Amino acid sequence: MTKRRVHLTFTGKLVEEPILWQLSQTFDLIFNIRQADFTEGIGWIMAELEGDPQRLENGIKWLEDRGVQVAPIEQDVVS
Amino acid sequence: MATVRGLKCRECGRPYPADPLHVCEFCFGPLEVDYDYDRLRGTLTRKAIESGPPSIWRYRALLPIEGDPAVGLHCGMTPLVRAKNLARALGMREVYVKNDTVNHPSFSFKDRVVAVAITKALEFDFKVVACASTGNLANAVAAHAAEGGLQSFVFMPADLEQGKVIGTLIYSPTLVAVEGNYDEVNRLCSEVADKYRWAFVNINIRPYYAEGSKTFGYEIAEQLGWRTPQHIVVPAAGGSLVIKIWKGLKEFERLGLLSGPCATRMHLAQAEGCGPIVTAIKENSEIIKPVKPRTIAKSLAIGNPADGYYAYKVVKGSGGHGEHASDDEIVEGMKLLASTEGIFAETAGGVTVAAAKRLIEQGRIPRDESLVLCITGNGLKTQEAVAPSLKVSLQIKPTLRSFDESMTSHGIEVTPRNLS
Ligand SMILES: Cc1ncc(COP(=O)(O)O)c(C=O)c1O
Ligand SMILES: [Zn+2]
Repeated sequence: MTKRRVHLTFTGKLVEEPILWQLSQTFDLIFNIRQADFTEGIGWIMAELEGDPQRLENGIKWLEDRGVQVAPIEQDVVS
Repeated sequence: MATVRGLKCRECGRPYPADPLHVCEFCFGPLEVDYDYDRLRGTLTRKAIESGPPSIWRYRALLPIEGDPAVGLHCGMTPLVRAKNLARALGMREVYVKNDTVNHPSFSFKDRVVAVAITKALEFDFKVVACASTGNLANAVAAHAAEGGLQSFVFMPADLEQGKVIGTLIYSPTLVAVEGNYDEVNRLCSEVADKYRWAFVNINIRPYYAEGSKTFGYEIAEQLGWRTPQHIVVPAAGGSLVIKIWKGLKEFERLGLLSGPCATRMHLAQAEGCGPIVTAIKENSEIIKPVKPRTIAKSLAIGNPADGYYAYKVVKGSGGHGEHASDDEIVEGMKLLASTEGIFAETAGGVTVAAAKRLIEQGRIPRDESLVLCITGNGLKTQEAVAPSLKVSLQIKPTLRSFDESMTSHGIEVTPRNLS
């Protein structure tokens, strides 16, 4: 089992979809939300994802393919 | 004078020890250094500061180090220039340039944060320091690591300006040029920071590192005669600098060091091709929408800024605003600052001048109020940005006749000395 702390940004109609639920069902991942904020058309979630390392990778790729912006919880560390 | 109580979560307020930690285990919020201000009130006086060294270390009671500073002893106390020519060009009465193009040793404000971070890394007994950088931070980390006798790793996107690459390599760090898009570089560095026990200055040392930027604000206030200007324009990448300048001014106010209240409006400057915080300010949205950076201001090309929300809060809370600058305006801004004040700033300086110009034209910065422009890095590092628009004025044969003809054909009028 591996853990990953991620910052996810959702825009447009992604905001209304149960994406984390779908993620957890499809890739057998546990998610634990620590902070989140949503308003019309945009939102973000800080969460810890846990699961099999390969499934975790695939799950993150799946999120990105759906248009979710996936970043480390520090967000941009390059500066 | 140890005045640090520890670290504290900016979101939920949970306390943490003063260790190399940067996020709250409960809410994942960022950690910040917590000081015992009551102990400083009365002992930290103007006189005590004025009798300190001519560097950032005159403010060491407000910096998170325990022992003596170990590196960067000549950092800070850069000139605050009364910019009369620039003021005239902008149609303003009172403009100052806080000139960190000449900061020591690596010619940007990043020397401030890194001097603190590497002193702290040595206190924590790290043997290796590292950073992920768009250039200025890389220069500063490599230089200070050399001075502190530490091994250093510097990760940079592979497409950066020559000046920033050479200005890093010369200090003999291990420079890792990462071929990948910006998000990939970012993710890699976060994973590297997780895996190795290094002092990653802008990751696990970040709470200490960021405090170094407060000195930019302290110096502005002290150099203005212990008062704050009506407006400050700050360039933003991750958004930390603007927050810390504000924090510095507010600390001075709280400690009774200012002549009046701090009523400064903080304004933010970003490039059009990467201005997510300014966009949020313009749209009144507390949620910052990440962007893919596309600008010549590579030092500000941070698409998903870690401190964006807090920067937004500082700007709005102070009654300030934000503006974008297009690539052309950035180049014009660099030229304007150089040709009016003799200061060659990097692209971030062009962004600041250009954004200030827009804010003045909109009336957000009234022409009869005082303004400080934060000029944070040196133009010799980003020559590519202006090179295409500059050319040699006259090209001539080595004769006086060729010179005179060339002057005439270019319409340059000068009066010859009277030889009679
Ligand atoms: C020259 C220059 N100015 C300003 C900034 C902005 O700093 P911050 O990330 O704290 O907003 C940077 C950051 O890299 C920089 O290099
Ligand atoms: Zn917390």
